[in-house]
Amino acid sequence: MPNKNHNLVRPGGELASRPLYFFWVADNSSSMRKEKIGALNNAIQSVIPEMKSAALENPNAQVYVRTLRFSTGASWITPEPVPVEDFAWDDLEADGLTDMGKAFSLLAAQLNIPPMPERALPPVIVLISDGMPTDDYKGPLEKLLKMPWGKKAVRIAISIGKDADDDVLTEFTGNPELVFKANNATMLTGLIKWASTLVSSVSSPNSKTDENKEKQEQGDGAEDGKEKKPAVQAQNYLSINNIPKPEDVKAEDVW
Amino acid sequence: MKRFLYGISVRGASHIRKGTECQDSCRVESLSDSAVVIAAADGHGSERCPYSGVGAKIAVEVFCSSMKEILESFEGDSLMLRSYLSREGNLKIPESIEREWKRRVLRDHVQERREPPVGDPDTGIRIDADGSNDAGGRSGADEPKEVYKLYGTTLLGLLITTEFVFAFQIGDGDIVLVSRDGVQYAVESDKILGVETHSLSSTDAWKKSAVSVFPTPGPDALPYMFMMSTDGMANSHRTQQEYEKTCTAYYEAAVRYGFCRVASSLEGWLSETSALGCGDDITMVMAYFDKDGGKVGSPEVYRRRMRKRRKMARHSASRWSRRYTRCL
Repeated sequence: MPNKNHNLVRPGGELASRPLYFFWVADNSSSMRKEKIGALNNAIQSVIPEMKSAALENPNAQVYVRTLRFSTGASWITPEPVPVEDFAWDDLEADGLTDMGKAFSLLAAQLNIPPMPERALPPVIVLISDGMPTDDYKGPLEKLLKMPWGKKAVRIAISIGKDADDDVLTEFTGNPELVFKANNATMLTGLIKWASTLVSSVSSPNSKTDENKEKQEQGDGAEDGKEKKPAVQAQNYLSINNIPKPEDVKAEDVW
Repeated sequence: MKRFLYGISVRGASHIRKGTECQDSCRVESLSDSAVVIAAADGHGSERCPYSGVGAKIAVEVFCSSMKEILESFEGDSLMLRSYLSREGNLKIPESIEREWKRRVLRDHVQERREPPVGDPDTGIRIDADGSNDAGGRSGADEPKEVYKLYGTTLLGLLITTEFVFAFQIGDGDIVLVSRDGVQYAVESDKILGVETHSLSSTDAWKKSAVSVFPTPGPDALPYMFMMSTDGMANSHRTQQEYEKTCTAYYEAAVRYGFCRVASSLEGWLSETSALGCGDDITMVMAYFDKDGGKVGSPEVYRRRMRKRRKMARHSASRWSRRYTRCL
C-alpha cells in the first residue's frame, strides 16, 4: 500500500461522479405538424453540442439524457438513459392525439428508486407541448409528483403557441412562472437552449437549504386545503437572466 | 489507552475549477484526560450563502465551546452529565447551539461590516456597511433571518468521554464508529434526496437536529475509530455501501500502518476522492482509540524518519508541508 512518497495509497470503496438525468418530454401530436415540430427538432438538435460541452465542464456529474414522446400513446425514444456524450436526437413526426397522461405514467415509473439511484443530482424534466391532454392526465401526474425523484425534479414546461393548455402545464411545474411561452420558432429555440443550461446549474455540488419543505411545514405551501405541489426545486436552480423575452416575438411570427 | 485526533478539510475539485474557497470547517479539542470533542461543518456554498465558510467555522467553534461549558458545569460527574445529555440532548442543547450560532453569526456580520447592514445584536443600533452608526435608525430585528441564510451550514459533532458518547447532527454528513465489528452509525439523521439539506440557518433549526447518547466501546473493542465526514465524502461513492467500505478501509489502514500514516495521507486521499467523485469540499475528522503499545506510527518519529529519507532522496522541502495528527 505505501507508495514511493511514503504516503499510503488511497484505499476504499468505489468512487463515482453523481448522475444527472435530463428528460425531454415532447408532444408530437398532430397539432404540432409542419412548423412547430420542425422548430422543435431543429432546436433540440442545435443545443446538443452545448449540452455536451456543459457536461464536459463538470466531470463530477455524469449527465444522462432520455427522450419521451407522446401523441396517440407515449413511448421512450431512448429506452435506457444515454450518456450525453452519445446522445443524438431522432427527429419526431407529428401525428395523433395528445396523450399526456400516458407520458406522465411512463415518466413516473422512471422516477422511483430504483430504477433511479438514491445518490443522484435532482433530475431535470422539460415538458414541451402545444395542446391540451386528450386522455386522463390527473391521476398519472399525481403519481409522478409523489415519486421520490418526481418531487425533487426540476420541472419546467414550454408552452408552444396560443392553443396550449397552460393550466395543465402549471399543474406539472407547480408554478405558473415555470411555464414559458414560445410563440414562434425563435422563442422556442431560445427557451430550449436556456433549458439545456440547467445541466450546468443543477450539477453543482453546492447544498441548498430545504426552504421549500420548511415553508410547507409552516403552512405556506397549503392552498385550498390541499398540499401545494413543490416548485421551489426549479427556482433553486433557475437563472432567469437569459430567458428569451416575449417582446422578441414579432406579431406576424406568432403561431 | 491512547487516543489520536485528526481532522482536515480539503477544497473540492469543482471549487478548484471555479476558483471558490473551501466552505467546510473542522475542529478537534481535548477537553480533559477523559473527554474529547470533534466537530465538522459544511457551509452550503451556493450563491445565496456567500459567507457559508464563515458560518461553518463559527458552527464548529460553537459546538466545541458548548460541550466544554457543559462538561465544566458538571465538574466530572459523568453519571449526571450523561443523564443530562440523554434528557436534554434533543431539546435544550440543539436549541442553545442554534441560538449561540446565530448570535455569533450576527456579531461577526456586524463586526466585519458585511452586506447587508443590520442592527447590532447587543445594542440594536443599526450599523451601516460604511461603518457609520445610526442610533436613531431602525434596529435589525427584522433582518437577521435573511442574514443567517448568508452563512448557512450543517454541523456534525461528537463528545467522546471514557464512559459515553454524545453525537449531534444537523444537516447532511455522516458520523460512524468503525471497529472490528464493522461500521455503525452514531446518529441516524434525516436524509434528504438530491442536494438539499437541513441547515443551522433555518428558523427553529434545532427541531431538525438528530442526537444520540450511547456507551463508549469497552477496552475489549480496541482499536476503534470514530469518523465524521461532510456529505462530499459519501456523495463521492457509488452507494452508501461503498462509502462504508471506505470507512472500514481507513480503519484497517490505521490498524495496520498506524494512525499517523493514515493522517498524513488523508489530505491526498480526500482530494482524490473529491476529484473522482462529486467534486464537493470534503472534511473528515477522526478520533482513533487504541491500547497502549498499539501500532500508531508516532507523528514525531514518522516525521523525523521522513525528513531523513527526504534529504537522502533530495526531495524539495515544499513537498512536506503536511499537517500531522495531534497525539493526545
